[in-house]
Amino acid sequence: MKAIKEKDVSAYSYMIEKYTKTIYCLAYHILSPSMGKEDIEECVADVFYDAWVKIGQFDEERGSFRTWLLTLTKYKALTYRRKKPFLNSIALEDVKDEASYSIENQFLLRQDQEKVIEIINSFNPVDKELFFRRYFFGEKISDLAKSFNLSRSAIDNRLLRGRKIIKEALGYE
Amino acid sequence: MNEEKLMNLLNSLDDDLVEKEIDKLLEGVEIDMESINKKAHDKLNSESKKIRRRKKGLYVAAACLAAVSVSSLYAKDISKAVLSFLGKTPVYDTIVNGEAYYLKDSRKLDEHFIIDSFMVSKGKLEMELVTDLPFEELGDIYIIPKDNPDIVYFPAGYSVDENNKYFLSFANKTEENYHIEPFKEFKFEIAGNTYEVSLDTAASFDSESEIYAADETDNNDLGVNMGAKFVEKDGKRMLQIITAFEDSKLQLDKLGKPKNTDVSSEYENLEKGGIRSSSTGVDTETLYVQDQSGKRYSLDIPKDAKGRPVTLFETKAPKDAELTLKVPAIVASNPAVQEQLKLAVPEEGEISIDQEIDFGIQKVKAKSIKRLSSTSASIEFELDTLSNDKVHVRSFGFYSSDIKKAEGKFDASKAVITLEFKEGTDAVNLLIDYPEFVIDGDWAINMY
Repeated sequence: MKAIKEKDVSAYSYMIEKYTKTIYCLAYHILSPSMGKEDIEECVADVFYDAWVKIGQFDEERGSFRTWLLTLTKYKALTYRRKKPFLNSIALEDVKDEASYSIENQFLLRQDQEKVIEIINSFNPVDKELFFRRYFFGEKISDLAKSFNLSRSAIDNRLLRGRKIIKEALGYE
Repeated sequence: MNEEKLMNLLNSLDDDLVEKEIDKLLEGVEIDMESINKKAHDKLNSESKKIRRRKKGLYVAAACLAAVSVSSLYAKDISKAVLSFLGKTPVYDTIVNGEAYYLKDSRKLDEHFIIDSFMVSKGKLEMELVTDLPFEELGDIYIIPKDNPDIVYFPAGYSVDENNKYFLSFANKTEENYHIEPFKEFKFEIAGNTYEVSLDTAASFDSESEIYAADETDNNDLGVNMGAKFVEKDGKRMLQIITAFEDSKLQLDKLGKPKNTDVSSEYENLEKGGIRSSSTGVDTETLYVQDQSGKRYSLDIPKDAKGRPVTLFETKAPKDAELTLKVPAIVASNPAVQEQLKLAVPEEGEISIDQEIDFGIQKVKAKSIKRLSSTSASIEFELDTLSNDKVHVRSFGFYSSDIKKAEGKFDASKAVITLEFKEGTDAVNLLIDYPEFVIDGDWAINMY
């Protein structure tokens, strides 16, 4: 982060190498299939350049760099989608998303992380993808409902059920 | 578990877990990493060019990253320019590579000797010595590092001014080369006496300081990064020029374009009296900074400048002016070069040699050797045979134990070395070393 703030270009390369897959994954879910490979790649490249330009806005206290990149990705992908409204219209309020990277710093044990992944991986394929897209990529429930062709309440129920299983497995109150 | 907690948890996943899950989610999706990388760099490259036009070449020398793979040429270039200035240490009025030790204040050794300045860094050992004794009474002069007494340094060259101040530059006597390692304490032997001296450690450039870099893309092929910074010294605002070579064996000799292209050098084997050698010095044209109205201000060498080459300059340019520094050329040398030429001397007439000598950034060719008399011959060299019209060989050193005297004349395109030897000599071993180059970079550094 320090090196990007200081405009060290080798850090830019490092960022691309490290986060392309993560960013591509989210951009792909938001833009595919309405947009092609070229558009998705452009979007991902835009995210990296945005991060380079806007690095001053990144606040380590508010969340991880990866989460911040994912927030940028979400906004950028939504902007891309908005440019092609005939394919998939987006309500303006979706762009004014809550600061989804605004998370409190929380120390998590590696065992907890592995356990949660293990539980999510045991879900059926739809719930599994739903969980990652909702809680890792921070996608909105309304978007997920559209993407999975389910009602909003169906999505809520699936997420609630999954959270309950995770909570019990971790022994959380 | 609520939504927020789960988001926190998944957003804090360790990298390896994330990657594994992303791979699963992207199963069946092809990602063209190379294409994304190129697109991202193209965006940066295009924007950076715009930025550089506005704020050309200003870098804050604070970037220090762990080794990361750099895939684009653009990234590599910028990174190199910035990093190449970070290993530099300003000592007195000059800049050296890496660690350096120096004498903070002049030190009186006894009633005959004062060390006015002393600095040592890798490959460089210099001293200014004031003495009332005549040269012939100085005897053998040695410097022996305290932590490495097996190494002895001795003066490889000197000059003296009207105040009996000697400028001495040293070489490694033990290894008979210019291999010098920095040291903090040493024994100084002169005129049969020994003195112990301890030095101060010089600090590298302040990592927070601003360095204005020349647009290195203009001179990529030269392997030279040029930069400058403002320095406060004795209440004055001064300007320091920083030069970094990609070939670490190269050393800066002088900033600016030499006034003369012709160089004369000679040496004579005095047998018991040792070897006497001399060469034309490098006198360069004055450097200038220019303000936005085009007015030029000279860069003047401080009156009592210490250390060579001088890189810290005074200027009368207004403090708030936006300045552009112009450096048309530099003079550099390579002390690491040592090439042996084994030459048969013809009984009469001229014979062809056609032997190439590689000086790294430039090449020369020994073309022919011609018998001049029973005790003399001349060798002709073609200079600058490598097709790089921005690097010129200004001169090089030559020595042979087989000859009594040698004289070299260098001009812009050729060099002729005349040898004097004993009658009956039919072959000589000539050592060619220490080439000096003029590099025409025509650098422009915007200092705003």
